[in-house]
Amino acid sequence: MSGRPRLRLSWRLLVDSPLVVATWVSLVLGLLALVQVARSLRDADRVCHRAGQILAHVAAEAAVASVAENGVPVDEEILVGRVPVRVQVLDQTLQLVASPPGDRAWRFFCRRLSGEAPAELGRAFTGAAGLAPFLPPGTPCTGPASVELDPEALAEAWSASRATAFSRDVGIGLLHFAAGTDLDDFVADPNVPRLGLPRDADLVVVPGHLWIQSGEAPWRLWLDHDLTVVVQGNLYVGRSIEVDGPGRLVLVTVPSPRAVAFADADGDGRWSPGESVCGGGAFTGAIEGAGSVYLGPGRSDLVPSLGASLVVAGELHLRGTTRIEGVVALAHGITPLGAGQKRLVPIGSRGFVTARERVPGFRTSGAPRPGLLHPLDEVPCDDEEPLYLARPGR
Amino acid sequence: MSGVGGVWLERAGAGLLVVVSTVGTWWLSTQSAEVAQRTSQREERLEHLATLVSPRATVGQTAPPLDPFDDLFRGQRLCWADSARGRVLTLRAAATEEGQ
Repeated sequence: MSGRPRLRLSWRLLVDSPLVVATWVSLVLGLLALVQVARSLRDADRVCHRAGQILAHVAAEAAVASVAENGVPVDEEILVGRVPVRVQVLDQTLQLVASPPGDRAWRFFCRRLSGEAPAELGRAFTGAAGLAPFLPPGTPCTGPASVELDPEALAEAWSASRATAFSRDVGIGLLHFAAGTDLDDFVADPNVPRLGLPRDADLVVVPGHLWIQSGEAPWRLWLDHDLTVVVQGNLYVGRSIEVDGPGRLVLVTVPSPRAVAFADADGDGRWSPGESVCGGGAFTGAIEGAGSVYLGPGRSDLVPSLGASLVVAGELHLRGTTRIEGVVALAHGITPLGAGQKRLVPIGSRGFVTARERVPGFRTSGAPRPGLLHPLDEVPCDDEEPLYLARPGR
Repeated sequence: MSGVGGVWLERAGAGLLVVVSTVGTWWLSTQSAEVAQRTSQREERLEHLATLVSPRATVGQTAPPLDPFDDLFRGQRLCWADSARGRVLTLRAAATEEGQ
């Protein structure tokens, strides 16, 4: 009985001879080398991509500067170095396509601006020299702010009464001050992350006082785009404000025709004999005044941070230390409320490039110009909505 | 001869293979490390340049020198140009290629 010889496979065959072992070693080493080379090439390709993007950005910025000086063309190609940049006018925007040699075309756009926004909105702090004791050491005080709002824009602005986040409240004044308030009071709902305005609304007017009620948790607000809230009364802030999203919030207070601003030294929310009226003159109108800001209207209110900019036509009243993420522009002074050290810490990180950015509601100056350049692929889309809003459970 | 010689020939071949592959791997590794280093330096310079391109960058009276970026883009050099809105970063064709 003789059967067919059986083929016997064993792992020993893989290491049976020095040549086979050497081959395995070479293969492993070759693989290691390949991985390293592939990694280097991948990094080089990524940096090459980034270089093309920055080259295109430099060329597009130079083309925008050329457009700003020579007027806006209808459709023109500008050569910057060796990079052709095509500039097209699309309604109120300019679209630029920069095509570096040997690279893809990069698209940018910028808005056309009517002029330059007030310089105060580009500085972390603007206020009188006498305010230095309330500020971190070294903060420059360039003099009182003189920011002007655009009357035409104000005439077309949305009223706070149309925003779901704001509601009239006849009792809020009495909760804080013995005599209440003479002007209308509006209260912001700190549980509402969106103001409930139309998508294109970027300027809201509050025809009275605006109250952001006391609380330890901050008011988290989502903004798709920049928003200016003009308070034609006093602004009472009882808690921190945090702004999420690409938009920036600017809170502006202005005196109303029926009320003047004053330094409320005793913090009772009403004018008392001896308290100075902002801008001089006699005190008239509503007893609580208008145009001032209270950061901490109540004795126990703490406002650690404000993720917004503050433009105050009247007096700023400060109960503790508040960090302002945006800019602060004060036309008058700061009045401390209560005992102890009061500090205003303006950061300015949410400020504006005033020469090239539009700030809703503010009067511009100078010649029309192209605004900030944005890569078209990174344009914040108005239709984007967060998947989950920070809404409390019902 | 065939038995002992074959074994030694095989061992020599194996040794040579290991040496060649080790040297080759080492050479490729050094080359790729050099490329990675150059890439990293270029990336750093690019990100530095990106801060200058940013409109939030403030360019005062003394604009930063652009020498470090000379060979960043093939055939083009960066330079500062005066405009109505201050100094603006722009490009010009590199001198060596201008005559071509």
